[in-house]
Amino acid sequence: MMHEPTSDALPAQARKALKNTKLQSVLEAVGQLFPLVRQAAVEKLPEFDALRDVAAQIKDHTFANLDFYLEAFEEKVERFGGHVHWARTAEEARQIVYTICKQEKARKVIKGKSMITEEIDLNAYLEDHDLEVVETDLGEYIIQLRGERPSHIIGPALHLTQKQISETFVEKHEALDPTRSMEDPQDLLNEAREILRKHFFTADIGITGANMLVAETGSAVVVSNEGNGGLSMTMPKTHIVVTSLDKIVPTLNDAATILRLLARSATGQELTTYSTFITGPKRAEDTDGPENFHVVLLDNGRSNMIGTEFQDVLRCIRCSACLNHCPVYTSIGGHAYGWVYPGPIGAALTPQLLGLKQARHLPNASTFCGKCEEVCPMRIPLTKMMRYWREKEFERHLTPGTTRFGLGAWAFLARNPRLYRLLSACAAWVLKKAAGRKGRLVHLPLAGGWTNARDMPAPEGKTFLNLWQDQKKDAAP
Amino acid sequence: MTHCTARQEILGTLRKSLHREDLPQNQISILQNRLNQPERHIIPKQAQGSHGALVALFVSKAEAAQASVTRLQSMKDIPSEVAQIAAGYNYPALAHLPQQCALNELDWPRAQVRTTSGTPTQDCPLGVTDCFAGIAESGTIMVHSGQGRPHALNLVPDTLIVVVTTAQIIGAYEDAFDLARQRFQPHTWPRIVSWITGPSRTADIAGIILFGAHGSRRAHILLVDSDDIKQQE
Repeated sequence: MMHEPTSDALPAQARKALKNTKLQSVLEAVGQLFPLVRQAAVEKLPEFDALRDVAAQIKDHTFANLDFYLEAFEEKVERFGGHVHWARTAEEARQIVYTICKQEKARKVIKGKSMITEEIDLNAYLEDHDLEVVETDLGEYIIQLRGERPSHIIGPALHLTQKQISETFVEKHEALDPTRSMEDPQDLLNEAREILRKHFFTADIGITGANMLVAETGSAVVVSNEGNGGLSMTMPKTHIVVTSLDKIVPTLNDAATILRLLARSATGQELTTYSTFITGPKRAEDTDGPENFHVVLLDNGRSNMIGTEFQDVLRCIRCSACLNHCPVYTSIGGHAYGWVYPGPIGAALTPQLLGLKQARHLPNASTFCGKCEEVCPMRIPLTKMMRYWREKEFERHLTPGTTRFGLGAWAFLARNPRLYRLLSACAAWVLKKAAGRKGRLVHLPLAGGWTNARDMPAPEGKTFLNLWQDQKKDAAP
Repeated sequence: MTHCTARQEILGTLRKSLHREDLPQNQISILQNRLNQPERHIIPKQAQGSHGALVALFVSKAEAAQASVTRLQSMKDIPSEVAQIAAGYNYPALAHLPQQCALNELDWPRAQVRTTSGTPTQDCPLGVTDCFAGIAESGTIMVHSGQGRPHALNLVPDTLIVVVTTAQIIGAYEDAFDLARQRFQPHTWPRIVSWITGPSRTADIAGIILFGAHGSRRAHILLVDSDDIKQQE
């Protein structure tokens, strides 16, 4: 069954996530560990910041000439007997993949990790058409067994504890002894390795994503720490790369620059264990490899983003640094966002892909601390984009009446400084009186969101401007 | 056909978004040139040291990525080293090699190691392969697919042993690509060019780093000082 997005229910989903103690314990570790390992890796490469500038320039240059580079890529792929399929929409991409599966009379499909296949909900579609689909990235495999969707771009099962995973394995791996030892996480890994290895050797089709496409050679670049990507593209008779047209870079050297940023920003590694450049199908003299090689190039609205203020978001290399450093993501986790791309990158990208009506809460789920932008290896102005969506939301009257009233009242006051000063002086005085000697407010009308969780420190009776003027007087000779 | 219309429509939308028609011929030649003579961007300083410094960097980076590195003086030392590694893991003395590879010329019987080749099956304890280059900046091994060189051999064995000579150590990723561009023509470019940095790993079980997810559980690098394979008796 295909998945429906639930981004419009973000506030309720966030509340639920905040009360989920298991999730909270895992998220705390995410928010602490990832920034530490990234920082350590960045400090070891003095050129890191300069490389970020170059990487952004490479992508900007590519986008300005995207038609040329896509055609150059296509020509190279076809030179080796591969096929490039262009898909305007998610539906077209799904149909292209399914048609290839049908042509090959495929029964079993194995998959490497791919966000684009999540975006087009490919697994559900293929399963609805009676194909067996097996995710081979360990995290993706675990959530597939549980019927869940990824909660993090590079760690799809990061929302789960080891105990939850072992319970899932006991329940789903029915053929194995239910009393087997699962104390050591290595036991779980070995079990999954053994089961999945059989699938690699028996699948008809291997589907992977691509971290990049290289126009110079017609290669798809796939990085993977587990090695599942390499096996998925090598053992089955047909390899399908499902990717989007923004992934292209001109040359291998351009790809090298971006690879220097990707793993460091994602996991704090200098390079992912396997970084593989795949070019076409098996050659006549090759010992192994697929006979058929297909690249499905998804547009899904991206070509309309080129040349607009949203082009920058297409520079994204899906490293997850913005999630790992986001105070909102590390509080509510990925599922609360209700669709494929969580965190700041989702807040910038999802409204474009799903429409603002469905996704309007995402750009609001931000404290605007700017940490996401600070760590983004591709220098995407994420807060600018979230602010843009908030403006659009207001313009299109998607914001609820009370919020609109509040914003309107604020705007009126901000434009009338005398009135603003008078009212804020009154408010400071009232709040001081209400707080009494404690200096703190336990309840505050209209600010329950704050006072439910903690006390509100009361003003000391004077406004900032009053204090400023007093100090100026005191300082005068 | 939908393929053609989708392609035309996407390219059309792109050009509309870029506020232009097809690129003018002079711009196309500039871009073509950028593809044919790939420019280098910033190369990390540490990847530009002397050859000696690069070899040392390669070793330290490979070890930091949890590969083990053993230095050997001669290619002739490889079979006994492999025998020792196999014994250490209680493997049968059987090494899976690429078929078309100078490693086959070594005296394996003397070290009592049998060899085999072809595409490895599901159960393959020990793979031994040579490589295209060793990249110092990240302690990475570069391999490629080809005749007698199944890519599965780089992934399937429980323990992967990679032989690299000191002369094969280069500094930066761009140096590796330059070597590949010299060796292969656009029409002979291999299906797979792969960079391997340490053993396979995952953090998908509660963030704990575990080795041997789908690829090799262990990666050993034999760094050989002299490429004397042809001179053996």
